[in-house]
Amino acid sequence: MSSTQTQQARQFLAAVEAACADLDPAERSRLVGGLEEHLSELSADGVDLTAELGDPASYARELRSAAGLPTGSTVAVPAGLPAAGHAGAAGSGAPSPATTGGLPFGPPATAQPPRAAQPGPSTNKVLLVIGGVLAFIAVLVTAALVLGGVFFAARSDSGVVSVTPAAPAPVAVTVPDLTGQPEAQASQLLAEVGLSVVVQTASSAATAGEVLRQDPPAGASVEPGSVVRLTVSSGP
Amino acid sequence: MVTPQMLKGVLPIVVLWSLADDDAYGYAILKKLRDAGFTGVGDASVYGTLQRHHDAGFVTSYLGDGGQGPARRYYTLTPSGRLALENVRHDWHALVRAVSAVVPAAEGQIA
Repeated sequence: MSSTQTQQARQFLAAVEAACADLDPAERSRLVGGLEEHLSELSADGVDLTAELGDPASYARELRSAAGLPTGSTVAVPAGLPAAGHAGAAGSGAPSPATTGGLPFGPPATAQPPRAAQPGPSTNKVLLVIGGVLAFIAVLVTAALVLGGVFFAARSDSGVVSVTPAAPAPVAVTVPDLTGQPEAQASQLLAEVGLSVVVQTASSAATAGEVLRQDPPAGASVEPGSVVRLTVSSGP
Repeated sequence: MVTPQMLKGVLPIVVLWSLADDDAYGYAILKKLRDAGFTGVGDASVYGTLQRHHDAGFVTSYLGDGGQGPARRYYTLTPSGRLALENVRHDWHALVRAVSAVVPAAEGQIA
């Protein structure tokens, strides 16, 4: 980095750090600790730091949001949501309640402006269509959030790195034997015991629609909601 | 265009997936995602997501060759991260199937 860039990066870092001042020190150090190194990498790659990073406050907000931390005093944390950054202060003997199982993503970060401008619709009909599309996107995003939540909820509040991909489920489900059954019946059975299903087809001498194979196999003990993959005959 | 809200939902998944074949450093991941069509993704989002995956034990990092510049911090998937990837892949495809079944493929079908 040139000296100007170094100076620029230092100022930027200091401002980001200041915007994270409300975080628990250990939390802040984990989040911001590697940033200097990261900024020098960007510079080495010829990135214009000012253009790429924007203003430090927005950067810090985006950083905190992506890291699953509360986005700061400018964005209110709704009651009932754990403020992970404030819990489990360093040196405290009692571990804070874990947030496993909950969505790792906070409420929509309304303070975060979209990077690209939305095109201005010109008629009411277009507005209506866009409204419908946005409503659908909301549903889609909710689904994506839930999906992501299952697998990325393992962040630990205590500063100890967790190595489990998700909270262990309290109950196990035994996978039923589905081979030879019609697909619809197999899917219904899986739904009844609380398992998800993914179907793929394969050409086979068996009757079309008949389950040829399953994974995991019958008798396997899995977490509720796990996916069972069925290979279904598409006929000869 | 991928809206910021959509991006927020899928970012943890795509960042993890971007490491499936090769280890990569932060800016390389950012470029990869932008090239893939996530044009609105920002450096802080990718860096923050990497920290989150690191905290969760899904990725670990090491200092690698930086060519002519300084050493770069490469991120690599842990066995736990690979397991999470494999799990999320099945569920993701189930979601895509469900969404595709509802969303019309062609334009002009919304009255």
